[in-house]
Amino acid sequence: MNFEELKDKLKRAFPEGVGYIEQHGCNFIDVDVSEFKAMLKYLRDECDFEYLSDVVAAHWPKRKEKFDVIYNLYSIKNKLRVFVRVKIESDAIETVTDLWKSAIFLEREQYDLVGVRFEGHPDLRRILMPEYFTGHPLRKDYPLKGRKWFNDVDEQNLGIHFSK
Amino acid sequence: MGVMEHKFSDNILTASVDGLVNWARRSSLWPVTFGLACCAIEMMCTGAAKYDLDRFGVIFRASPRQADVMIVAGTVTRKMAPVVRKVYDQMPDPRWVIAMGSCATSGGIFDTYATVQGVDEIVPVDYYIPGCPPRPEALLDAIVALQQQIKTEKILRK
Repeated sequence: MNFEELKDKLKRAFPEGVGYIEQHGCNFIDVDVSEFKAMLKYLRDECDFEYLSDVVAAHWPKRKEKFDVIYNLYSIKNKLRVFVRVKIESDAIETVTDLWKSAIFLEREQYDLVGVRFEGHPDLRRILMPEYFTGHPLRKDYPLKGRKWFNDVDEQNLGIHFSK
Repeated sequence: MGVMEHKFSDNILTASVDGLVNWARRSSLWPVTFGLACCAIEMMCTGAAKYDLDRFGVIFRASPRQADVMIVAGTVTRKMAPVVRKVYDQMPDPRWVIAMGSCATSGGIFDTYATVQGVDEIVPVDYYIPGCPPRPEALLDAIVALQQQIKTEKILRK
């Protein structure tokens, strides 16, 4: 199954409000937030997308929908990769950990860096930044050189003090 | 040598304590096996056959307890900072630190929210090597300079 055949199949299952874009050699599926979970479940169960290789969130501070959440799916059987793109207005979206277990770490990373809350996630904690960090560094309004957060923290009592 | 002549049997040399101890220290500078980023690749290259750190008596040790030098090779992130400090704290005196490359020296290009702006915020640094990453010759130069410095150190008096 290639992307054209997948498109025909999806158009029968989801006739309304889905956009299909082929750009830079990548296949994008734009889907509304109300329908995205059903779409992902359909892709997994009916279209052999057994592997969720990445979840990415992008911050658009000036747009009405503040965040894009992009699910990078791969079908090992069909050698086909698609990006399912969902726009959300708030910072909350339903989790997909019940569909793919790999989403547990992937969603934690996006929660940590971009600050999208995945509702229903079993263990939504920071994964890269330390737990005493506040904020989400990959948001566009986060100050790149903001180092105040660690200057006065000495989490292991080693007598370290940072000043720069 | 007039007084000493023929007092001892052959094969005896005399030396000052400073000279002897400093000779031993500078001839066996053992760095702790410790690399953080791409500078560590250059450091390994310096240790390998072409540049061959062994000929300076520099042999990487896998334990800070047996090491004399810490070569901080690479970017020190905020999460890594306590680890670097703990490795330094575990090294016995006398100990020296070489900050290798622009990241360890000043944070380098990583003027960001997660990078320590120079490892001298955490541990005292003896030698800074510029470069991104520095050539092996630059690391050798720092090690030879450190050896020259050790040569002039006083053991029993400050």
